[in-house]
Amino acid sequence: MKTINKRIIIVIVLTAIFLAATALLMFSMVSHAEEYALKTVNQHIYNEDGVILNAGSILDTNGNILAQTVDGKRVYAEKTDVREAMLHIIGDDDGFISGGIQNTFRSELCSYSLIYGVNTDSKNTLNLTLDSDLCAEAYNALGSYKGCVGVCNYKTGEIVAIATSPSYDMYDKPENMDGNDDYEGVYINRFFGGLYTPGSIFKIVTSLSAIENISDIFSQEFYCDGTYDTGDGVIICNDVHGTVNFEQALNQSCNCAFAQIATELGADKLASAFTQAGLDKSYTTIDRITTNSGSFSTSTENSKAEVGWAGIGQSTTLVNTYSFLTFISAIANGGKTNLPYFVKSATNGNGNKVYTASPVDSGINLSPTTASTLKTLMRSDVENYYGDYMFGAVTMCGKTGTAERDNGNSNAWFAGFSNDDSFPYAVITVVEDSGGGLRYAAPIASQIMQSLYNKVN
Amino acid sequence: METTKNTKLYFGRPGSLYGLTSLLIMMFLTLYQIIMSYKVLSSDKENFTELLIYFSVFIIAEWFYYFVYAIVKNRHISLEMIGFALSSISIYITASVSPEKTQTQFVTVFAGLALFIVMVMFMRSTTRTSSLRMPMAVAALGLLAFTLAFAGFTNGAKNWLYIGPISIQPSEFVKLAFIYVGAATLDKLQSSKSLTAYVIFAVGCVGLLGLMSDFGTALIYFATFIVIAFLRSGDIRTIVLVCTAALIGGILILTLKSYILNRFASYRHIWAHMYDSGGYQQTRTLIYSSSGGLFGVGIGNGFLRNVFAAAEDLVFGVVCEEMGMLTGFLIVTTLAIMSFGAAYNAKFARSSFYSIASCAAATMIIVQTSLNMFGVTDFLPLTGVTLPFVSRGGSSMICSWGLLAFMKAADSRTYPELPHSRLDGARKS
Repeated sequence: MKTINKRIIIVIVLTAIFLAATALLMFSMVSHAEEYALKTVNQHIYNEDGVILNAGSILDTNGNILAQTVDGKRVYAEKTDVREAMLHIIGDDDGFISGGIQNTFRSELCSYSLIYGVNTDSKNTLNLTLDSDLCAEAYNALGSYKGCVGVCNYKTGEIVAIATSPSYDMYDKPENMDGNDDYEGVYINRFFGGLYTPGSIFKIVTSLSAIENISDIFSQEFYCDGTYDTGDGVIICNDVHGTVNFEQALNQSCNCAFAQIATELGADKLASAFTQAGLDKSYTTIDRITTNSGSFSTSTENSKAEVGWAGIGQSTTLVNTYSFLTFISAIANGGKTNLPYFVKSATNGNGNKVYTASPVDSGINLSPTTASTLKTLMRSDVENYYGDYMFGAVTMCGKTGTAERDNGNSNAWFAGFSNDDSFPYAVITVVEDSGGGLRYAAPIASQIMQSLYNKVN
Repeated sequence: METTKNTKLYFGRPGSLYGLTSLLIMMFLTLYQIIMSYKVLSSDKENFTELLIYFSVFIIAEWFYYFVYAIVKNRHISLEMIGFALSSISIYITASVSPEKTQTQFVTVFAGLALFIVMVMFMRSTTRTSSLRMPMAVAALGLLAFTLAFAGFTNGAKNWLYIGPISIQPSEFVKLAFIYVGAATLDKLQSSKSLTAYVIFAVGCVGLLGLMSDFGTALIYFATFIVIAFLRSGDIRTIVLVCTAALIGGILILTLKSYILNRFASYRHIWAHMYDSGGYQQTRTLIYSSSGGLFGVGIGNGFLRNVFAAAEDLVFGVVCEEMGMLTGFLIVTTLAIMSFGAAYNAKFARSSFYSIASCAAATMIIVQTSLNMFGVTDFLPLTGVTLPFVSRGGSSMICSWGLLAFMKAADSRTYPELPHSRLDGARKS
């Protein structure tokens, strides 16, 4: 018996190992509990199709309810146009739209506590910086055109309006969207995911490079007779501008002048300005959205004509709408700006904050002089060329763009911001397959900025 | 005189403090069972009367056992109380998940209890016990061979026999024989011939289980064999040798029959297999266990119950989800405490037979619990074995009570009327 008694230690060791492993399992399960519980197959929160059922409410900046759970069902905004305008922000039922906050912020929306497990009656609320009425107005302003609108506070980074078109009502999802041209790219939020040829708004980037690299740029004069021959190709202008200086060239968006400036700068300097503007970056926003990165490249030979076309935003250059809004916000804000965001905070049922947005710097760092010079130039565009009457009470700086496409009409652009410290908002608008920027994009930007101005004041 | 001295060793005199404690534990257990009964009944109006009868009879039977053994016979019934507590959880889960199977589960708990009582009575005589070892070995191998020959594949393993409406898993019953044959009295311990015979028997059992593709059970047998062989021989080198041989053999089999490995391909990659059979059960177990939090979503309110084999292989997850992770981990901790107790009692057993049997039973419970709990949570590959006492399933339930009987027989307080020569020897040494 004595011998056996010593050997019994094997069972004690085995059981001790078992208990240690059990403790490890418990630690692992407890530390991953929230992550596991919020998986989209968890039927405490989602139904069989992964449609969210039990989650907290989403409120816009004015406290309007954009989404909430009533009796185990997800209910969205009352007005159809608000639902359509907010679709890409909130996210759809089927999981086709990525980046919807019902997915990305589900841990803030669905309350989980280790003690009580998953809460099927979450009283959490997510508060957005967006004004849903303004979003709907922008969405309606786009009308039947595809495109997007974004408006943000360039001092704080808070986005007040986002609209992307096409969209649809998730209460009445169209069945014929596949292969239907009207719904091309319907699941993409064009504001964050869109990549477009910039057209003339790229002249802001070319100007940035010119200001920093060509010391006598303001004393140079350019002659435009409607075409500019680089020797290896011809750049065509939108008009015959005659002799113009740098400021006038930007005001009138003279292609001949900017092709000359671009060839003088060369492809490398343009590319470095593109990088300086943050346009080649894929941003991961604090709203957990990853934007598409733009690209600047002239063709392999880097012929003068190619560089010339690139300098006026044609060629193969692509920009992302969100990134461009961030760039002009930096100009407006003296060279630096926060990355725009739209989820302000989340509170639990007791009113305690469970999430507070902590804005991060965009990384764009223009010298204050460059920023202020660009601002003056863009102010001159509106003051001397587009006309201040266009923007009502808002003192705007801006640049239009008309990006020509291989087929169909041009994409119309407007990128601008208010020159008013007490109304620090920047706006970007793209209207696809429409026509000139001044005719199709600027009025939408103007309408939204004026509406916002009236709301703020 | 002898008895009193013994019992003092652990808990004090029966009828005194221990008596009060066991009464309190019984009352707590009953309170818990009444609450659980109420929760199950309130969510199932259809089978209300039937379930109410089962739940009530269970509690009455428990108290009857307490009255007979603790009050009249003045015995310790700690092990049985653990058995009752865990078995009742299996009944509540079965009643809630698949009410139509409650009757079977209810009957098998009592069949298990009956086996427990019979085994404890039978093992009272050491000579009678050891005389049956050979017939038991033959019966065990025969039953496994019969199963291999006549069973069809059920969920990938040939381990079920269907006799009319009854389905049994022979490998569960053979577990008891495996321990019974392996445990040896002191006079046999020194004989290498006896150990060789046991090794042959063990290789036969594990081999037959491997051929049935019941790898989880084969592993449980193998681990138990190692512990028994060590207890008998005390030779670490032999154990290392056997383990190495088994490892090489295992690798060889897996190389030759690589399709077996495919069954475990999703191990540590379950989230990549969330939607296929490779990781479906494990991911759902983790997701829903977490959903329950420490206190659970309440019995009847879970979703893991809809997953295949929820009340059997995944019962740990169902308990975590519906009764809370605290209850889930309390159950497995209870099993570990039971194992420590078995090892402790083995030191004072009146014959090495009981010592070895008790330790082997504890090993079996711990290894099986490990394979089950760590399998469904992806700490170990999923092998599809049951959680002792808690999983739904008759063979498994009866076997669990049988294992408990080995632990009970090693407890010197179980047969207070017997002289404790071995015990005295142990205490003197």
